[in-house]
Amino acid sequence: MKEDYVVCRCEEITLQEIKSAIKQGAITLDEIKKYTRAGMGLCQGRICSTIIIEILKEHGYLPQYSAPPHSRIPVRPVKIWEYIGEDQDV
Amino acid sequence: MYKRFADAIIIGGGVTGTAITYYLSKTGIQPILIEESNLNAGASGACDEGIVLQSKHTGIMLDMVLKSAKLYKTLEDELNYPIGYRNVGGMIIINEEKYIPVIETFIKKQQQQGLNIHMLHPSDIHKQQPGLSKKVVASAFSKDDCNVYPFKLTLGYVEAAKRLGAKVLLHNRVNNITINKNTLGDKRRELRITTNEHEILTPIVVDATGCGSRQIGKMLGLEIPVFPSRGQIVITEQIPPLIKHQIMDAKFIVAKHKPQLVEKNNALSNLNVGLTIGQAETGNTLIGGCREQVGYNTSTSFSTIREIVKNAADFFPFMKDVSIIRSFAGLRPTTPDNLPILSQTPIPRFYIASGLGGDGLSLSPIVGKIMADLIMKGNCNIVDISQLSLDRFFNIG
Amino acid sequence: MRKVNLVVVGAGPAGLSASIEAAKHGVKALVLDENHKPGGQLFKQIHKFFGSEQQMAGTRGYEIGTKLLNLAKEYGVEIKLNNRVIGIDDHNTLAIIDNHKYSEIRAKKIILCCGATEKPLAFPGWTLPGVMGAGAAQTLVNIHRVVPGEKIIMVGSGNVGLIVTYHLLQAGVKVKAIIDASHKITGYGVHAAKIKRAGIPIILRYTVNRAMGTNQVEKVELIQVDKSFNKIPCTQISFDVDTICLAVGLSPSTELARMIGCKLYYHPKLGGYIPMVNQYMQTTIEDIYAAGDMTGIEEASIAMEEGRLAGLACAISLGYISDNAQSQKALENIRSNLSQLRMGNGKGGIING
Repeated sequence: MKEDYVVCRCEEITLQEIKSAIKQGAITLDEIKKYTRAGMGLCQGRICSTIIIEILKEHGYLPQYSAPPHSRIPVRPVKIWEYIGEDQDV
Repeated sequence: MYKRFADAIIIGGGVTGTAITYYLSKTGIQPILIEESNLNAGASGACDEGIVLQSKHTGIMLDMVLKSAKLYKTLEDELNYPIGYRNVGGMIIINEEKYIPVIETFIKKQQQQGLNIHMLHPSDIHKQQPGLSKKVVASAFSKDDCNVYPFKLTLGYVEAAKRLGAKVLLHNRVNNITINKNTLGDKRRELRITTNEHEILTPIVVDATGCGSRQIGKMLGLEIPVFPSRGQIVITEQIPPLIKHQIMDAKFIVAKHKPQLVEKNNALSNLNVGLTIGQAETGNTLIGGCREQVGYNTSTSFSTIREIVKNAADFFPFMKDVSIIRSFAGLRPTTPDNLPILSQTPIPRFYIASGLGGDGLSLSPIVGKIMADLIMKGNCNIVDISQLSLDRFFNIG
Repeated sequence: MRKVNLVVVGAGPAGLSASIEAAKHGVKALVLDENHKPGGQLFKQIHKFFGSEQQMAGTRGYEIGTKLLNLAKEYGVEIKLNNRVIGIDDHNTLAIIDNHKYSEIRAKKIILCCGATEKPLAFPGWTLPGVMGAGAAQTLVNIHRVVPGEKIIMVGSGNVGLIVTYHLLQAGVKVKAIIDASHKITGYGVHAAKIKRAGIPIILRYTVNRAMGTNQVEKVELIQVDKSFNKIPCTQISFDVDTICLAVGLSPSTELARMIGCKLYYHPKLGGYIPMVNQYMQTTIEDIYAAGDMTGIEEASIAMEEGRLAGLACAISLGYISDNAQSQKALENIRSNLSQLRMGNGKGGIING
């Protein structure tokens, strides 16, 4: 059996899932995300992106040649009540 | 530069391009799909999961989406790929009494055309969808609305097409399309596509690049009136299954039919924000509902995102305790009359499947089928696509 | 919407230094930080820093933090805590969650000093409770006064690995070993010597093969690697541990820089993708500057000098100091401090101890 473990903890995406996405043609962080959901979770790839960059490197896809993923508001999770300015017990 | 031949070339790896590739492959030919970056790089990767029938106008749009929904029912089995199809049903929720007659008239016409839709009894609304604000006074319900996961849908089409002999060239940007003068009498060499890696001769080219269509058209001297309209979406953390249906605020429909009823003087309507909300199988909810004309800008704006989440909290008070984790924006390819272009062009065997607005996902299988028919048979019996032809924009008067 | 001349995001060594430098020249600087205490990682550093006197060598990290905070107060820097900056748009508007309430501030200049996060290392079992970043372990012992475990293995022999090991030893934790896949110790010799004197083995050319345990880490299995970091079969050794600390590098926090569209490039030695900055620490977007770990992982003393450079450049650009030979010389002085600090090893200087 091939070695496997979780790479993206938020979405529970494993090493083998990342590898098969690479086989299907995903070669950047953003493409891996769209193929597998790795990096779509609560931490938005803060943890797993360095691991995925290393996996991509092993397959010959160097981060020097691709742009880092887009970042969009909010860069940290925000409760909707915080966002809309309602008071809440904290 | 690799030189090669193809039975047909489809440009664009979104839900429309991959669907056409699949349905063309089914006819026995072996097309090549060319994509500038990767699958779902454009609008198909920046949308929600809704296949909403009840928002469609009666006529050709409702006709197509009804047929599309039927195809979706068996698509997962047919493609033999988990595309995340779920028949969740959908609601159009109404928070203002004055909207009720508009929606009632709207759905009456839809019923006549065969859509399974009815107004819920007021006492059933909150049973149908617990957690809805008491402000919701009426609601339409259709059990035909469904969800599909766009990222898996394109992969499903592509994998199935590959099994039938299709090829996919990712990371290939089309630099040029020309009419090959030196065909040696062979129609199969008539069009030449040059990408950063390949030169391909082919008899058939289909442009399915959404907001890229204008640029592709220009390569052949064609004016294709498709413009970007930005839709912004907010995604929340994963929560237990609380939003059972694909939900849309009636304001969207009312704004189209009786714009005078929708107040124009608040921030929401200026931004064209009407709520759309659905919960994915993963538990994330996707909240959206705006259209802005801001060119090719795919960033999200603070004010719109704020209006979107306010709206969600307004209709679903429990959402206040949910965290949002990201926002994104997609460019919906829009035409001047808001109808798609599924059409031949003045260039023989150069076809357009574009301008699907926010309906690309809803319509993908039927668009794939229509284009396969149009290309292989020269006409289409599925729906009357004369209304969707490119020349409708140029034959005025 | 509140409008200010200068917003600094992050109240760590770079951000505080940037705001102090700008404020010295009359700029009213506003510093925003998501934490409930300022200082970034400085208050976790209970050891003495190296370097020249100017960079407060011989001073313990938390004392540097106190000094910076006093200076900030002296020069009238406004520090707002519990302020999460969640977005920046192309009109220099910052979207902020200010103590749980959304607000927006518009700034003429923004200096991003967002710091870095710890890099993970993935192996079978790395998601078991007991696997944590070395920085997290350091926060537990030095801030919260809680030991992260009883029997620890440290992965990584860089300065973070060596220093945190020492802090853990001081807290009475048993550190079984420090391991590194590299063929030599990557941190400074003086730290390594301290660790060796304490009797802690430093095992080189080994990496984690897997972590084992039912509900938490009970055992770690190591495996030898060759020069290309390939695992060599049948070389496994194991230790009974309850905690695996990962000190395998830091990753610059570039979310805000990416959101506004600053150009980034990949620099593996500096931690990954980092924004391009010029000699004023200005990014590819005119009003956005960046300093500290987010422009490349280096020492705290370098972060402070970079912050000063950005702060001074903003003061000049905002017109608080005239852009003349004198101010250019002041910038040049900071730059020469930086290059001195960076001498000594390949990229960063021998500074932070």
